[in-house]
Amino acid sequence: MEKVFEIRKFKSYITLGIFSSVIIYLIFASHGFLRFDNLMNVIISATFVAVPAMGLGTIMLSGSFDLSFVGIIGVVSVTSIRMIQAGIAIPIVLITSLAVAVGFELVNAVLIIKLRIHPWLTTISTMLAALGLEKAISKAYFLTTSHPFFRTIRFDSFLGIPLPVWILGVSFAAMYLLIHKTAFGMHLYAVGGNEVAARKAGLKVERLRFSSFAAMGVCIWVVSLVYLSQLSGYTPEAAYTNLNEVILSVFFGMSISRKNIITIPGAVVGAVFVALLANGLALSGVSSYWIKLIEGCLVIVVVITNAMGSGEIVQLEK
Amino acid sequence: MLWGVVKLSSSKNSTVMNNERISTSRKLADFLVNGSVVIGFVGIVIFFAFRSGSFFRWDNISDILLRLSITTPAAYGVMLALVAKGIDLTPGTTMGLVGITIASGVTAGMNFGLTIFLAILVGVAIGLVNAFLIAKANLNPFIATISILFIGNSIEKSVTRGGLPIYLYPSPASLNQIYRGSTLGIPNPILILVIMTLVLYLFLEKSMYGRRLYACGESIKASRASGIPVRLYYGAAYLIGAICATIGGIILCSQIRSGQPLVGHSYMWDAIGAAYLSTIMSRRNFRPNVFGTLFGALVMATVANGLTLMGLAFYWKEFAKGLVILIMLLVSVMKKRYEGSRLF
Repeated sequence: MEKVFEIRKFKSYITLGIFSSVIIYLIFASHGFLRFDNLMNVIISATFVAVPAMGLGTIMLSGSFDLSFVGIIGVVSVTSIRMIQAGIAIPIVLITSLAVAVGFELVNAVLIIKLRIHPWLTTISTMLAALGLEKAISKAYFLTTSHPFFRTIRFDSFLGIPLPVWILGVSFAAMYLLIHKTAFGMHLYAVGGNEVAARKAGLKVERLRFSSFAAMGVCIWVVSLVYLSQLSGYTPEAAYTNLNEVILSVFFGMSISRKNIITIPGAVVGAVFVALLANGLALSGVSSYWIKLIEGCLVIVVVITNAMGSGEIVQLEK
Repeated sequence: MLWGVVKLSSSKNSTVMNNERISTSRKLADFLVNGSVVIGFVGIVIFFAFRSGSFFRWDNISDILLRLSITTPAAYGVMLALVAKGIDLTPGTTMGLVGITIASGVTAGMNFGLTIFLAILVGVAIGLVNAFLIAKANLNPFIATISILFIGNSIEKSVTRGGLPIYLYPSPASLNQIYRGSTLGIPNPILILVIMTLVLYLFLEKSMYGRRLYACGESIKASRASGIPVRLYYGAAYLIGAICATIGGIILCSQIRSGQPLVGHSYMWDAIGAAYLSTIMSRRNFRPNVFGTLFGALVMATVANGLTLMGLAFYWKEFAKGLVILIMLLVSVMKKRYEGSRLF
């Protein structure tokens, strides 16, 4: 028992050690890695992953799962572009797209929570449906928009820091306060830990789980704004290419947390780590298809060190 | 566990139902509910038959069956992982890597038998890595296999210089035989599929090893207490799954006569969908099984085929595929609710 405890204490340092040694290596190996604008670029590219990862983390810690967000980001983005092209004022576009995002997630929530269909199976099918719908709306073309609202988000900065970084910062602060500093967040953890016990303790389990999906909807809306501004439009399946990274960030965050639970800061750190790695490797001249290989290997190493001392095979569903 | 809650909640009105005499209408309802997924499938088939005249032509049906022979092996791989209460996201990667191995082996002028042997070795290697990571190193199956997916995809891209397919002109006769040849009047891929299905069925349902594998999936502690080497069985599930995907990869390579990087990705969701459909269809509590997986793959293949015949754009096909799975899920949930109200 003593020994297991020692390993557990040790292992979060192993993860941190690997993390910092890779970053230190990249600082020396790649030119201009530490420049301010490059770091800002890294954080902007991390935003694409970090914001949905916070939403996914919220859903996962309440004991469910979502794959469909990659499709919903697309649907929300192309709908907003179509509405802007039709000349609708930007506040109405924003409100409608928020409603679309939250509405889609609530459909997921009804299927998973009310009808009790398996979360992965539900969201695989809603993901396929949403990816199809996204391309049906955009006719599978790259839709562009140069609306001043999105140009502002892309090019302007506040206090010397680009606006997308502010978006990440503000949404991180909001989610952090919501999940880790309020009773609501603690209740979500309780529901994810033991649903029956949470129900016995008088928590409104279904309402809590519904609101975790609604939080994901808001995250989707926020990240769709970043996609629309950074890409000046939306390429079909742009978010789908980030699916693996998002899931990875959440698990990475779980592996660096002391208690081995999903946390909001962990998910963001995971996303920033993935973005730092990709950026540093690209700057040091590694070809882009090797980057995913190195990402995958590093994650396996990190997670193996994390699994040391836990001593039992992981079963996904009990 | 989730289902237990539903059963509990529906147990109130059950005593009333138990006292009722079993009537003919009740029998009819039983029939409708039990066969609901199959009835839904028949409905889809009839719909397609009305919408397109060529749906029931023999060459179209054989097309569906041939497509089945590629997706089903991958789906069996996912199903075995589900039996071990995990998930396997690597079948697509395995299929792609196997295809590239065969194509580059043939291009390099290697003996065909040796090429197939190498391809199987690649599949076995992926299976062993999965087995080590999940059964020995206690990794979460999802994160372990998604990492292998990353690594495999980037190997595929690096080997083919960024994703250039390796075409085989002409492809060797023995490779062609796998997909296009036939033995005793039955096309070879169908034969392979039937043999695989039977072997897996006998293994999982009729042999001691299969029963033990299910037992390990149900409870690690109980199985270990009764002397089953749990880690060995969990590893074996992923290894056999990878071998299944390898067979699918060989058939796919023979069909497209080339090694295409990332080709397996499109089969991955089909395979996962089919394997989960089997858990939904099973009579016992969400239990993955061989014939259910075969049926799930059939559903996916039929829907894809029928929508193509209707001449829809590819994105509407994707949309409809998601919708059809969702409808089947809803129907099966109704079924479970109904059974829950009967049992208690």
